Amino acid sequence: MPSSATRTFTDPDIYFAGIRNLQIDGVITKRGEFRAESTRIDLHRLWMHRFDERLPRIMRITPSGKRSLILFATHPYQPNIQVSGIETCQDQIAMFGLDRPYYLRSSAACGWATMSLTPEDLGTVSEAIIGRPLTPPSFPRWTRPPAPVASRLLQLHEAAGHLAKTAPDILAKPEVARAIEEALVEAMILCLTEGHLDDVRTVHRHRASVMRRLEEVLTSTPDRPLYMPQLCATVGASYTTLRDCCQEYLGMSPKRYLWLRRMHLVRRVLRSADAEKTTVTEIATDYGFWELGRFAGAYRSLFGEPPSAALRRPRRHKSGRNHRAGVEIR
Amino acid sequence: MPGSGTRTFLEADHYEASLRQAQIEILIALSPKFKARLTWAELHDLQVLRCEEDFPRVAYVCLAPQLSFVTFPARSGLLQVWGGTELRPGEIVFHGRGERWHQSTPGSSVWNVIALDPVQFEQYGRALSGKPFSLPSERKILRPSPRDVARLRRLHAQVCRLAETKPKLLAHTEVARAIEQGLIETLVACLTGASMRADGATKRRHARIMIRFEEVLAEHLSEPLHTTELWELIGATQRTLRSCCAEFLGMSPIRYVLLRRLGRARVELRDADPDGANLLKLVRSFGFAELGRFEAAYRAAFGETSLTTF
Repeated sequence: MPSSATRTFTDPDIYFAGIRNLQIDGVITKRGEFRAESTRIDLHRLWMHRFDERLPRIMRITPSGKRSLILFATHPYQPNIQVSGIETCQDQIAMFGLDRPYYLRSSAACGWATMSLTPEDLGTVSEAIIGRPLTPPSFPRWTRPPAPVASRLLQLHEAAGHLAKTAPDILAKPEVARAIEEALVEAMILCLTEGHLDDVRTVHRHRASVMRRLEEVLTSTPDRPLYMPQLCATVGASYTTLRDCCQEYLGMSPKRYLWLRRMHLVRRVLRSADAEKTTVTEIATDYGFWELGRFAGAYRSLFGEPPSAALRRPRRHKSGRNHRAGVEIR
Repeated sequence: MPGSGTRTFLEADHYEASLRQAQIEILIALSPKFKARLTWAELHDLQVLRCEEDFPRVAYVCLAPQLSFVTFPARSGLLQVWGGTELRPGEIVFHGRGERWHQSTPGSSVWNVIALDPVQFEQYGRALSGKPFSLPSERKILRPSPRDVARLRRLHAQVCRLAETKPKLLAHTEVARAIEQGLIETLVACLTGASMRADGATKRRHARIMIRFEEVLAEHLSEPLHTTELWELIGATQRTLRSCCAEFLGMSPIRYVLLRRLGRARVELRDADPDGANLLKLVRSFGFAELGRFEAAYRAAFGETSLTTF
C-alpha cells in the first residue's frame, strides 16, 4: 500500500535515534538550533526519502541489508557532501551495498535524497529497461550521469516529495503511485547505467577498512571513554593513518572525534541520571574529564546549556525517543 | 590503585628514602641545608614525580632497571647539569634502563620525572607510530618539537597540581586513565618527532669512571683510604679522575669523598643511641682517623658540632 509522511525535528537525538530501518549514529558538528525535515514516500516497490537539515552533521549509517540504496544531493548550490570520505558532487549519485556501513558528512545545511529497491526488484527492473540485471555493489560506487538524465531524476524526485507534502492522499492512490514509480525507476536505472563510473582508489578501500575496524572498536566499548594510544593499539593502525581516515570520513582529527564521543557519552548519562543521587563532577570524571571548569565551558559551547542544567532537567520520558517519532531511510 | 600526594622534607635522608620508593636511588652528597618537596602521582602503569629542591646539591642517582625514566627540568630556560651535560632549554632526557649518573644542580631546582613500564610503552609506541619503536638503550637527550614539550610540561604540571590540591580526583580510575593515556601519547610524540643527541665517547668513558668511583666508594667508604689507593681501585690516573670529578661534580675527588663520609656520619650519628655508643668509635668507623679533623669538617659542612647531632 503506497503511503507517505513528512516530519520535522528539532532534537537531533530523536532525528538520529528514530531512524528505524537503519542503525544510525549521528553527531551535529556545529553549534546552533537544529532543525531537520524528512519526507518518506513508500511506493509499491520503490521506497524513497528526502531530507533537509539545517546544521552540518556526521552520520554513520548501517544499512538493513535488505534494500539496495542510492543517494544524491537535492539542492543545486549546497556545498558538496562527503560520502564515506569521498566528496560527492551535485551531479554524482552514490550507490551502496547491502550491509556495509557508510558515513555521510555535510559541512553546512544540506538536502539529500535516497531511493531504494530490493536487490531482486533492482535486477528485474534493470533487466526490463536496459536488458541486463544490475546488482548492488559491495563497495560504494559513484556514477556521474549525463546532465539531462540526472536532472530528470532530480525533478521527478522533487515532484514526488512535493506531492507527499501537499497531497499525500493523491500519492496514496495505487495507480498514481505506480505511474510515479515507473517514471522514477526508469530515471534511476538510466542514471546508474548511462553515467560515467568514477573509480574508487585503493586508498579509499584501505581507509574504509580502517574505519570499519575503528567503528568495531568503538561499538564494542559503547560506554567507556577511549584514548588515542589505546585506540591505535586496538584498531591496529598508526596515529597518522587514523588521522588521515578520520579527516576524510569525519572531517576532524581522531582525538577530537574521541573527545566528542566522550562529551556525548557524558551528555547521555547526564540526561538520564538522577540529580539527587549524583553530581556533574562524578559523571564527568567517570568519563575522564578532570579539568571541570574547562569541561563545563566546552559542554556549554557544544550543547548550548551548562551540564548542570542537563542533569537537573526532569528525566525525559522514554516515549520521547520512541521509534514512532523517527524516520526511516530506505 | 592510583594514588598521589605531596610532602616536604627537611632531612636529605628522608627525601632519599621517599625517592627510593619511587625506584630512584639518590645519594645526596653536598647539601649544607636541605629542603625539598616531593609531589608524586601513581597512575595505573605510570608514575609522575616532581622534585623541588631549594638548595644546590650534588647527587648520585641510580634508576631501577625494570622501569624507564624520562626527566626534564620544570622551568624551561633553566640550565641544569645532568650527568656532566648541560641541558638546554626545551630538552628532555630519556634515561637508559638502570642508568646511574651524577647530577649536580647549581641552585634551587625543580626536576620532573615520569617513570613508565618499558614493555607497555613500546607497545603503545608501535601502535601510535605504526613503525618499529624501541626505547633508547642508553641515555638520550631529546629535543622534541616545542609543541610536544609544552604539552608534556602542561600535562605534568596539571598532574602535580591535582596531586597537591585534589588527590581524590586523581585517585579516580578514569581520570587516572585519561591522564595516563594523554601522557603516553605525548611521550611517544616527543620520542618519535625529536632530534636526539647522545653523549660522546669521552663523556661516556668519563661517566663509566665516575660509576666505578661510586662503586669503590660504596665498598670502602668506612675505611681510611689513601688517594693513591683510590686511583688504583678505580683504574684511572689522578688527572683523569680529577677532571672527571670537576666535570661531573664540580669539586675534587678528595672533597667528594669527604662529603660522602660526612653525610653518612650525620645520618649514623642521628640514628645512634647516645647512651650506648662511643662517639670516637663511630667517627673511626666513618673512615676518619682523627676526631679533631672530623669535627672541623663536620662543623663546616653542617653548621653544628657532631656532638649536637649525636
